[in-house]
Amino acid sequence: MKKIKYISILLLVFALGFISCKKTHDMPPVQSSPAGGVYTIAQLRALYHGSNIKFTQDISVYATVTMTDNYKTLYIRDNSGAISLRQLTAHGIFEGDSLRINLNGSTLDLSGVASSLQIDSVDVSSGPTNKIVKLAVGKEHSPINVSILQLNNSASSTTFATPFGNVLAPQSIYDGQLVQVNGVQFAYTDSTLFIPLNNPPLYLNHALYDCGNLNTINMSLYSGTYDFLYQKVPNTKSGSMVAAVSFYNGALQLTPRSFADVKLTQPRCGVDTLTQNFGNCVSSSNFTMVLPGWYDLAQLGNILWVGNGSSPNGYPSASNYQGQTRNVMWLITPLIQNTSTKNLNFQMSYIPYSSPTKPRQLSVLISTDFNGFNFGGSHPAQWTDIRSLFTNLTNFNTYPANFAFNANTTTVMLNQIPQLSSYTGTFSIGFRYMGNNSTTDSTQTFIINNFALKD
Amino acid sequence: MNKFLLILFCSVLTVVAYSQTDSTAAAINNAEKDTVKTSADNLLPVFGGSDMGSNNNLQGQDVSTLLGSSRDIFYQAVAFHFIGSGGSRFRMRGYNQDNFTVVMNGMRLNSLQTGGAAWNVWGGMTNITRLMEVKPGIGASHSTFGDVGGYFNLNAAASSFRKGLRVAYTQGNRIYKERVMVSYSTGMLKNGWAFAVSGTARYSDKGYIPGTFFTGFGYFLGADKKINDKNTLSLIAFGAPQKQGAQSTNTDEAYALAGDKHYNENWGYQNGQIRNATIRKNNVPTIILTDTWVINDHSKLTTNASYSFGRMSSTNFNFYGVLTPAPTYYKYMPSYYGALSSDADPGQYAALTAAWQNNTTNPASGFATARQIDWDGIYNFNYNNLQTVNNVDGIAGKKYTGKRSLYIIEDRRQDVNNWGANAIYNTRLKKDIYVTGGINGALSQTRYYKVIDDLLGGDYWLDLNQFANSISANPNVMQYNIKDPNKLIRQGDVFGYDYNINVTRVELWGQAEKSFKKFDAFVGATANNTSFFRIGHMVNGLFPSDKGGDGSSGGNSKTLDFMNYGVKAGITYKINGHNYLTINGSYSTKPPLPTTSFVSPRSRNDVIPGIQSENILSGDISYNVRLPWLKGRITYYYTQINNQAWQRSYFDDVYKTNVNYFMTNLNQLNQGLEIGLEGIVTKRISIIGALAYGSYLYTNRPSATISADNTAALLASNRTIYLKNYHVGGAPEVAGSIGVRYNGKKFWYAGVYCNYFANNYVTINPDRRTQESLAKYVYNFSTSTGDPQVAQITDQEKLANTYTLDFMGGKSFRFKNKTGLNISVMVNNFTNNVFKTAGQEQLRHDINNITKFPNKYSYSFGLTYMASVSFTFN
Repeated sequence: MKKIKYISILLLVFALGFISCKKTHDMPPVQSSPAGGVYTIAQLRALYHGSNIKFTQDISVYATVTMTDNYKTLYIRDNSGAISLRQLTAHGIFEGDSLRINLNGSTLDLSGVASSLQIDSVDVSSGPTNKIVKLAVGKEHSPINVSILQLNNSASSTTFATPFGNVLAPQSIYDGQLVQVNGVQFAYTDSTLFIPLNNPPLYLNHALYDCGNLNTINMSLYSGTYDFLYQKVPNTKSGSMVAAVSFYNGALQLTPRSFADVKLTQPRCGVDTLTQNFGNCVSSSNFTMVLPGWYDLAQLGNILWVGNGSSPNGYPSASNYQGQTRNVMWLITPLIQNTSTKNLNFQMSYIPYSSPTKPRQLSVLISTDFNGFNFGGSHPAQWTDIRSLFTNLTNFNTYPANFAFNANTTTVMLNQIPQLSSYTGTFSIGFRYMGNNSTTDSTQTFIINNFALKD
Repeated sequence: MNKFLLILFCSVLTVVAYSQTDSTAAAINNAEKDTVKTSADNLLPVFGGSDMGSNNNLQGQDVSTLLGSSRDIFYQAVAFHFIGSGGSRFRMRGYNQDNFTVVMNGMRLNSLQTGGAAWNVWGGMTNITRLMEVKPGIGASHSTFGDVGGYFNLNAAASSFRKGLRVAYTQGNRIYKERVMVSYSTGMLKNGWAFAVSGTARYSDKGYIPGTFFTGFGYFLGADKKINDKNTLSLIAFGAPQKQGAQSTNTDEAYALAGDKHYNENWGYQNGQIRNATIRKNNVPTIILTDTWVINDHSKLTTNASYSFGRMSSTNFNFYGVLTPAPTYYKYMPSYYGALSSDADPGQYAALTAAWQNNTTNPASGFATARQIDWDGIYNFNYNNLQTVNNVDGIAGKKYTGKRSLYIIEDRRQDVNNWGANAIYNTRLKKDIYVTGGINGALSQTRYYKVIDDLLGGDYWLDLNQFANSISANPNVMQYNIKDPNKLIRQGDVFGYDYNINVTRVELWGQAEKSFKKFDAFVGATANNTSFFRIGHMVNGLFPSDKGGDGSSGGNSKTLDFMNYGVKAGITYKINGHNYLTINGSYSTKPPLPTTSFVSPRSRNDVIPGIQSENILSGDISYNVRLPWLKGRITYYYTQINNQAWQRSYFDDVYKTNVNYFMTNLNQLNQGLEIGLEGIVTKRISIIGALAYGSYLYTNRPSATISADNTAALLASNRTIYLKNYHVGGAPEVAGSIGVRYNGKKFWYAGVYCNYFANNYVTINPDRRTQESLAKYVYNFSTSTGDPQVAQITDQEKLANTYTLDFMGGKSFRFKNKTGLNISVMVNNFTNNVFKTAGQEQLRHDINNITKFPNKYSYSFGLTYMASVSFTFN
C-alpha cells in the first residue's frame, strides 16, 4: 500500500509537471530584416544623380515623421538626415510616427525644377498595397534650432548631366528637416493675411527675416492650410517659427508646421551686435545686397549714400558734390537690440572740397522708434543727435581728410549711450549727411568705415 | 506566484488524500461509476448554477444542472462553482459538447447536426435531470458506448420518479428572476400504470445584463404501463419553449466608453421601450417510447423510438446598401481613428469618444444613440424610403412602388426533425461477465432558412445580394433565388437562403465487463456509419445550377459517407475496500460535423476539400478513495484529437460577403488533472476541494481553406497555419474550489466556497498565425528586436486570473403527514468580483493595423443569488 502511495504521489507530481510545462507557441516564418535591405536617408539621397529612380524591388527606410503638411507631404528623418515623402493619398500618418517605409513602387525624384529631393508616390492606404509599417507613435521629433543665416549658408547645388539635359539638384543638410528659427520677423510692410481670401489653391510666399533684417528666407504656405486662414501676418512682432525646410526653384524655403508654431509675440527685434566693415560697399553696389539690414534713405533730394573703392576695401560715402539743391541722406543701421552696456565705434573721414569754414554736416543720431518704414510721413521716427557724446567728434579738424583712415586718428568711440540706459527695445544709429552748395551746408564728402557696435 | 499557490493547493489536497491509513471499511461496488440518486438525503439543491442563466448560450446554459445532479465531488464543483460562480466558461477537460454523450431512457440525444446534446431542450426541468447516471471520461456503460468526455444517462421513466407532489418557487437575479415548478408523480399504481407530469415557468422582464429578458416554459409528461411481468412500456414527452433577449460580446474599448462591464449593444429604445434585436427562441418537443423487456433474471432488452421536432431561431439585423446599425461596428469606434491606426484622425477620434461617452449622435454613422440601437432612426429611414421596383417577380414591366425596407430584422431558423430507434441488450453471463450490446439508428433532417421577422416600418424587402453586382454584369447574380427573381419579401416570407442538411447515422456497439477479486475490467467496441448531404431549395444567382453537386446551389450535394469505429478498455485495481486505481483507454474515429463540411452551405453544395474523420486517442488514470473521513478522486487524463475540421464564418466588408474559414487536419492535445475530494473533519463539518488543472493545446500546423459566399473561387487554399502549442482557449484551464460545509442537526446546512480561475486564453484567429499575415513585418528572434506588430499579431492573450466566493445554505423540514419543505439560498460571487470570463480574437483582421479589430470579451456577473423554497407532498 505504501508503495502505491509513493508511486501515486510521484505520478501526480510528474503529471503536474508535464501539464504545466510551458511550451513556446509556434511562429510563422518572418523575415529577420526587411526584404531587400535598409537604406539610411543619406544613402537614399546619394542614389540620386539627376534621373528619377523608380523602386521596383523591396528596400526599406526607417524614419520618424517630423511634420506633415496639410496635403500629401511628410517630412521624415533618421540619424543620417531628412527628406520629404509624398504620399499617394494622405492617410493616417502624423508627426512623431516611427515608420518603416518599403520603397517598392515609389520614386526618388525632385519635387520640382531645382527643388527638394523627395520620396514620391508612397502608398499609405489602409489596403493590402500599403507600404508603411507604423512602428510607434509619439517618438521624439523636436526641431533643430537654426538661424536663417545658417540655412542660407547651407545651400549649395550640383548639376547632373543626364540624357535629358542638365539637372540642377540643390542641396542642404537642412533639406527636409524640421527646424526652429528664433528671432525672426516678417517685413514690417507685410501686414496682410497669411492666406488672402478667395484665392485659388496655390502656394503663397512671405519673406521672413532674422533680427535686424540682416538675412531673409521665403516662407511658403499652401492656401489650403486651414489653420492659417483669416490669420493676419504679425508684422510688428518677432519670435520663433517651427517649419520644414525645402528647396523650391533653387531657393530654400520654410513651410510652417502650424499656425500655433508661428510664435511671433515679441516686439520686432534687432541685432545684438553689429559689425560692418563695408568691404563690399564699392562703386555701383546695391546697398540692399551688400549691406543687409541697413537703410540708405534720402530725406531730401534724391542723392543717397554710395559705395566707393574696390572690394574688399570698399566704404560708403555721402556727398553733395553734384547736387545743385540741398540733399539730406541717411545711412541707418539695422535695428539693434539694446543692452545697458552697448558701445559704439566706427571710423570716419572726409574730403574737404571747399572752405574748411563750411560746417561739416555729418551727424550721428539715434532713434528708438525707427522701424525702417517710418522715415518721414505723418508719424516719423524721432532722432536724437548724439554727436556731443563723442568727445573726439566735436572737432572734425582732428580727423584726417582725403579718405585716409588711421585707427589712431579716425576712430570715434562711445562707451555706452546715455539715452538708452533704461531702454530695453531696439534702436537705430543713423548717419545723416546734409549737403548743399550753399554756404550753410557742407560740401565735403564724408565716409565712414569699420562700424562696430558691441556690448 | 499563482502557480506556486496552485501547487500548494494541490499538494494540500494530496496530503489530505494520503495522510490516513486505509483501515476504514466502506466498500463501494464501483469506484468509478456515479450512481442514480433516489434518496432524499442525497438530493442536491434543486437549482444548478447556470440554470439561472449565468451563460447566455442556449446550448450551454443547462449543462451545469446536469453536472450538479452528479454525486461526483469534482462534477458538483464544476456545476456550482466553476460554471455557476460568476458565469465562468469552464469546460470539462476542455472538450466540446460533441465529446459527451447524453442518453435519456437509453435513447441517444446528441444532435447529428452539431454533435452535442441540445441541453436547452429540457431547460429548467431540473426534476427530470435529477435521476441521472454521470460518468466522467472513458468507462463502461450499460446504455451507450459513450464518448471521451463521458456520458450522462437520464432516467426519465414515469415510474422512476418519487411519488408525490412537489411545488417549488425560486427567485434570483440572473437571466431570469422567478421560476415556478410543479411536478406530480403517481409512482407505479396497482393497475400497472405510472404517471408523471411536470411543468415549469421561468421569467424575467429585465435580466442581469441590460436589454436582456427571458421567458421559458417547460413541460414533461410521462406514462409507464407495466404490460406484464416482463414488459414495461414507457412514453415520455417533454419540451421547453424559450425566448431570450441576447447580450453581445464587446471590445475593451466599448466597455470602457460605455462605463459598464455588462454593456450590451443589442438593444435600443423604440418609442421609449427597450427592444432587443437579437432574440433567440427554441422549442423542440421530444417524444420517446421505450419498451423494457426483462427477458429473464439476467437479461434485458430495451428498445426505444424517438421523435423530436421544432424550431430553433435567432433574430438579427439585415440591411442593404446602408450603414450598419450595429453600434460597435469598427468604423463607429474611436479606436478606428486612433494614433496607431492607418486611418488615424485625431478630430474624429475625439468626436466619437465624446459621442460614445454621452450616448449622443455618432458622427461616423449618424445614428442618434452612439451606444445603443437607434430604432426610431431606422424606422424613420424605412418610412421615408419610397422606391419603385421594376420587373417585380421577374415579370418584365411589372412595377411596384412602396416603402422599401433597407433595414430589417430577419429570423434565422433551424427547423428540426429527428427520428431515432435504439435497442440495447444487457445480459449477465456466467463467471460475472456482463455483456451489453446495442444497435441504433437516427435520421436528422434540419432545414436552415430565414424569414422576415420585422420590416421595421417598410412595406417590403427586395431579396438581392448587394455585393454580387461587382462579380458579374449578369443581373441574375444578384438574385438569391433565381427561381423567384425580384420577389418582394413580406413579413414571414422565406428569403436569402433555404436548404436542408440531412444526416443518417447507424451504430452497432458492444461491451463486456468482468469482475475479478482484485480487478474489474471492461472492453468495448463500436462501429458506426454517418452520411449526410445538403439539399438546396433555392437557386442562388451566383451558383445558378439546380442540378446538384459541387458548383450548384440547388438540388442535392454529393453524399458524404463516413465509416467510423471505436474501441475502449479499462481496468480497476481494487487496492482494498477503500482505494481504487483505474486506468482507461480508447481510440475512436468520428465523422466531421455537417456544419463544418460544406464550403458555404448558405449558398452552394460544395464540400470542403479533404474533409475526413477525426481520430481520438484518449486515456485516463484515476485514484479513487472512499473512506469514512475522505472521499473523492484524482484523475489524470490525456486526449489527443487529430484530424479535426474547424469552421467559422464572419462578415468581411473588404470582400463584402460572408467569409468561411476552414481548417482541416487540426490536432489538439487536452491533458490535465481533475481532483475532487471531500474531507469529513467532524460529524458536522466537511471540507470540499476540487481542482481542474488542464492544458489544452493545438499540436500541429493545419491547413486552411478560405471561401466566400459570393464567389466560387477560393480566397485561399492549403494555407499553413502555425498553430502548434497555441491554447485552444475560450475557457479557464485551471479552476480550483475549496469550501467548508456545515451540516446542522435539524436538516440545515451552510457552506462557503472560494473559487479560483486561471489560464484562461482567448480563442484565436488562425489566420493571424500565417506567413501571409507577417509578410510585411520583421523580427529577429536572436536579438528579440523587430516590429511590435509581430507580437501583437501572434501573441495569444491570457485573461487575468481571478477568484470568486460563494455561499450555499438551506434547511429541510419533514412533517408527520409525509410532507416536506426545503429552503435553500445560494449566493455566488458575493464579493461582486466582475471579471472577464472569455475572450476571442475577431476573425476579421487587418495586417496593417491589428488594433482595428480588437479582441472581444464577456464579463462575469457580479453578485448573484438564488433563493428557493419547495414543498413536497408524498
